[in-house]
Amino acid sequence: MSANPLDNLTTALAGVKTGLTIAEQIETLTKYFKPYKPDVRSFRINYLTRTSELKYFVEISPGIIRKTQGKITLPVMLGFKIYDVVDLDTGSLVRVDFNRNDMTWVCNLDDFPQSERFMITLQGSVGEDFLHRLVAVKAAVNPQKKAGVDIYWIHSALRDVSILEKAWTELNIDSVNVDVRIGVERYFGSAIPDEIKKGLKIQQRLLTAIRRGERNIEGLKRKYRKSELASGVSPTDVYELVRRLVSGEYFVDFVNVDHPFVIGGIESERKATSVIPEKVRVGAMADLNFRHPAAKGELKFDRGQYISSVSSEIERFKKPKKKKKSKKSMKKESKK
Amino acid sequence: MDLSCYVAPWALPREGIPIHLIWKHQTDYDHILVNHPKDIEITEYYNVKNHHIVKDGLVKIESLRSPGFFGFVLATKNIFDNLHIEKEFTISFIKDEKICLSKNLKAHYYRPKIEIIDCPEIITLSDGMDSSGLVKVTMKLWGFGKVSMSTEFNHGGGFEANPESLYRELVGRLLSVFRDMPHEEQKEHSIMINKDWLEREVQNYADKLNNGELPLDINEHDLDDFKDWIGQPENMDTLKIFLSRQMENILIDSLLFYFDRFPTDEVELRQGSPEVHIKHATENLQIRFHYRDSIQNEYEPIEVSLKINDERSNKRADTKIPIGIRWIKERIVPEEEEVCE
Repeated sequence: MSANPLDNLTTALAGVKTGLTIAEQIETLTKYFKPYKPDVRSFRINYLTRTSELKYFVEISPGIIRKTQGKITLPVMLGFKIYDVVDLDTGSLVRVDFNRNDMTWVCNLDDFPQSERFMITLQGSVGEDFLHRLVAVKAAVNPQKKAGVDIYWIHSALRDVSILEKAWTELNIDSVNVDVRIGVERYFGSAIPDEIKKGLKIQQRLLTAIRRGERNIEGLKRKYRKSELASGVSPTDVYELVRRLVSGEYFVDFVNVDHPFVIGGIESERKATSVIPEKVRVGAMADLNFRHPAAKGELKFDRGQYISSVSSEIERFKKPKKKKKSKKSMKKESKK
Repeated sequence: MDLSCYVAPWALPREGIPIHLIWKHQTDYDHILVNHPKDIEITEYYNVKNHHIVKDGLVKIESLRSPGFFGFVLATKNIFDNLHIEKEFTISFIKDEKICLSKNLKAHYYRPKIEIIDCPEIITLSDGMDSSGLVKVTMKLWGFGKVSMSTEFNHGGGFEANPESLYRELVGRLLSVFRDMPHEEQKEHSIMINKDWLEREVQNYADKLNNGELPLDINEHDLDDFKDWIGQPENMDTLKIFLSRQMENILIDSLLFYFDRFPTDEVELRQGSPEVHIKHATENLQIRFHYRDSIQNEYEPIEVSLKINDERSNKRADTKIPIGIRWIKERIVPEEEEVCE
């Protein structure tokens, strides 16, 4: 779709705040299509990308209508952009040039092929408040813990479709996202070996002693050198390791959802005062429409597998350093 | 009537349980009644156009926005004492004043609970003692859900919060050096630090200090001077340079603090392992443990009282005594979702 030449005409004003409700925007938009007997067939909202998509069937017969109207004009301020135009008689995508004329998009009807029926797809953006009124999402805050697996219930439902003010025969809200927050803080605390923690403690004491200008710190320095050799890791190494183990790329293997949900984005979260992420936010997405106004399911986090994987990553992370391998080769190894 | 329903299987006190019913569009009914116990409440409606609260515990759903579906969220009004409560509610479809279909459903709510199982009655302070094993408290974690705990100590002058140790340390350091802080360029950090993180952290600490958030136990004579100093806008840059230079310490401290804060699964010690500072001879020590669940419900705090037998030669010496906690857990596993087709 991105190859569509009409994309070049799209406007950054798609998210413009017109102060109109979605329904008012659509109503206004429909007026502009009035000469062509517009029929809105479907209204689709993507929860994740916060976009809306409106499909109009229009009749632009070659003949009197093209002569009297001459062009299609759409106001830029409505926040909708033309996504594509399809010739329904031939089924092909139409190359139509829309030109910006002050605050309107204009296209000449002469550019349309000699067909009668067209489908014009418009895209707009929707705000967070609008989505919040439209659908409700909820997930268990605490999981049910069973044999090494943490289970979170997840739920989404249409809350108030009336804000669209029109009962669309087809209303689709795609990728309604329910976030589950999985606490991972504990797993590193127990997986990081005591020798590393001890090394950090010695380093902390040494830094404090240096800061305070203490004189007899040779003993501490020796201890520090010894501990660094023993654990082979620096604080930044530990920090980077933890960050990697809570990244979406790593975490995705340990979570799953059942139908109708699919896994969406995975991101780590941390408190403002803490260095290390304490929670991993996993999105579970499902589509809602009039036939499926609510979705229920479970998100499972394989805690046991994750803990053992974290432990072996930490083991692997320690060993190459002892052999004085470079960071690069370490990364390669951990990827294997 | 072809109807399917869903009740989310568990929740904490005051956490909402979503419920929905889906049925064939053609179903004939006049209105729907929801009957629920008075100690729970409906906090949200899904797809409901008009509803009317007939009386406490009885709601009449008069019209829906689109046919064939409706839902609501049920939450307990208060925190309860039992570890698990089960609340029955009924959804009835009414036609010509008669019930044409009725569903009896259950909502399950669970809570965590902490109890002290064992604690020493008396502790003896002596010269050269090892304070690490002096106070050992055994706690039992019951019920369901994570807890986040904080401690307060009272050695005579009322309860004082145990401030976040990292922050206390930082402010202590700052108070001792702020007058002589040079306006110098930021030095290179000897350990690698993410720049965005560094900027955010520095701003966060600077804001805290600027808002006068100073740890309670810092009573240095120059505290007033410091407040004046930080009140001058031109000192903000100097402060930021100072904080930035402390970040490698903070990184190590935070890593250690992080490992310390989660002593066992489902327990967070908000201030790290609790530690009491005994500054002068005192006879009694009270420790109060506050705890919350994951949605910040605050439960009744628990308290212990210890007698202190001070045999130290210098009874005014500042002594830090860590409070060791041993956890015994007896958790509840919530039940599965009930099938209600």
